[in-house]
Amino acid sequence: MKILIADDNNVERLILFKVLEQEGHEVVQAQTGQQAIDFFFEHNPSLVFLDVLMPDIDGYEVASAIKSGEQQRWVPIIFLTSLTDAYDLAKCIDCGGDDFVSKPINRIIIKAKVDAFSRIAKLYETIEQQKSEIQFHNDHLVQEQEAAKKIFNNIAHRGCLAADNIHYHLSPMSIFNGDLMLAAEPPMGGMRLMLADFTGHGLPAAIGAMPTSEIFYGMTKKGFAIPDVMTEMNTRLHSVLPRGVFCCVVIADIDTLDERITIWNAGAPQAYVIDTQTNNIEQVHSSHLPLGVQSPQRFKVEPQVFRFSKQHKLLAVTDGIIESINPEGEMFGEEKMLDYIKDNITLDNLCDGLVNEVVEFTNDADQGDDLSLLEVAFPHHHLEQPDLDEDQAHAQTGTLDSQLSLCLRGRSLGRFDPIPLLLQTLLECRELTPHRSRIFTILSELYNNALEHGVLGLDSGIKSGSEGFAKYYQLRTEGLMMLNEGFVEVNVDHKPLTDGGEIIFNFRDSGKGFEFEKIIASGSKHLSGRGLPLLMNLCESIEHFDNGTHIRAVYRWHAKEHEE
Amino acid sequence: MSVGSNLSADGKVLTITINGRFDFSAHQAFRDSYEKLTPTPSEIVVDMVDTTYLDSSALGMLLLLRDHAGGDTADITLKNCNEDIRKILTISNFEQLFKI
Repeated sequence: MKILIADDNNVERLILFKVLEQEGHEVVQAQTGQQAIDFFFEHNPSLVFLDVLMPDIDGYEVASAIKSGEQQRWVPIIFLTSLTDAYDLAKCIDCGGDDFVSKPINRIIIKAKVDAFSRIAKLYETIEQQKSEIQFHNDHLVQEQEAAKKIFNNIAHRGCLAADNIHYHLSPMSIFNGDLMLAAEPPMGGMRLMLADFTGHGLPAAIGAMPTSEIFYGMTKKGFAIPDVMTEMNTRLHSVLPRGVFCCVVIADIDTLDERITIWNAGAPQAYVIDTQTNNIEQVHSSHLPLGVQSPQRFKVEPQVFRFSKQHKLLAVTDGIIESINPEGEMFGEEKMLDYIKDNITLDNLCDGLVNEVVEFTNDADQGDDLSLLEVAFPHHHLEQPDLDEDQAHAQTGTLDSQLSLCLRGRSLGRFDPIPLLLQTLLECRELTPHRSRIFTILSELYNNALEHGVLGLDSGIKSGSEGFAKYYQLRTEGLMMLNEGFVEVNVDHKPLTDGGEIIFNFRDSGKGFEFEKIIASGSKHLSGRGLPLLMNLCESIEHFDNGTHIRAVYRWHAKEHEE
Repeated sequence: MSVGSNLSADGKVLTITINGRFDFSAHQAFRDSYEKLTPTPSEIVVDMVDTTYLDSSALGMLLLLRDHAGGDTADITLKNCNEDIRKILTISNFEQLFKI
């Protein structure tokens, strides 16, 4: 061990020097305070003996200078003193010393002190070493997380979250909190959004996000409805996630044409549908088990439907916001949340306001990292959006010259959505890709018309008024559940023309028919009467036969129509 | 937080009690309370009379217990839940899986 001794008294210094040397230590001697400081930084000793009283700089100052100097190691300082006053001895420790021994020097005590301090120094060294190891591992972990984050961001990308009708708050590292936010524009226009919260933290929570977002974007693009998407997600998560890890989720579909929102809440805190004109707030409570809990055989999806127009907005949160705790141990809670919404109902950006409110409540700026909020207003109708991600360079005629028939009967009507199948088959003809949105709209309007007004015999007049609106969709769901007979027959005939093609849609249903002319005459004044006028706008012709139970629509398209 | 367990004389009913917050810190103790019992008791009661709060990891632990006790055929009762706990269980719709 290398030891520095500083003492202006030659005799005393020599005695100490001999004692330490005999114990096998390497000793550096300083005669003045200034020399002590210089030698300390020059020789890097592991222990320092320091005389309190020296002519130039006294021991207290030397100790302060040594301890305040920049150094990684801890070097103990032991004062040599003939002082006995308690105040003077305490001052030795105050100025950075670690211990003191009284003069005259006692060999046994010196040896004991050196042994004790070398033990402590070793302990200190071990801690330093472990600390730097931890630091290394932590840096490594952060680096890995950064890399993982980039990969996750590519897979679970933000979709259309940047749209100007959306405000959201999501920590950049949220993927490792288990929070996931997705938004997409379905082929028919409108918007689909999802806020998901996986239990747990770190990698296990993040891994579940990968299949979830793939299913969300993949199936949404193909035109699948919420129940199909959620069923698929649940099946996948149930097989992938370990028992005890699951996913709470709010998913919402905004239909801009029909001005409605379909919300499905499974295990998340209630979402809010806010009417900024009437100040009415609908709370959408969780009505299902979280995703990944229920086995696929027992899984059911029953979404709730609300009116949603330009005066409405949707607010969804994860439990982070409600469970935020202030220094007094109180939770932010649902009541405060609802009060805030009520007080700020006309605020354009509730999301940021609410985050500030919680940060203020918890008095902790880092709290914002655990919060995920999504606020959505009525989107613009993007029916004519071009599909940018399709490779249109290689035109393939595919199903250009084909006919497809499908008949759904009884129980299948309520349980199978034929639109994605029909759309995918038609789109095998690549030239049709730019027409995807229009064809989707035509198919779904015709099918829903046949199903709701035909087979189920629902009167769209029920839909007027916001309560009637929910009632209509309740009747639709109940009707579909109980359906045992009836049919919808679809025939799609696609033929090439010289500069493009023609698709003839024939939809027949088992209903009683309806007064076609009357609905057209009522035009868009009627909330529900928008479907047919829209179809007439998109199609070359629309004809009806057999008292409205058979509708024939013709859609004509021209090749090289990339820009719509 | 502490976890206690009590097996009925005939070995058929296991009662688990949780004191304080039911969160991840209870993970090991909660598992120990049922995992080593053979045969698995036919009925399990989780008594939350002294439980102040539970979080999502506790929900996960309850699911693990349910899986251990036979999944869909498990007979598990959560009793004496306070209002906060009941609310959390309701949000997650756990009444479909457990008797509350």
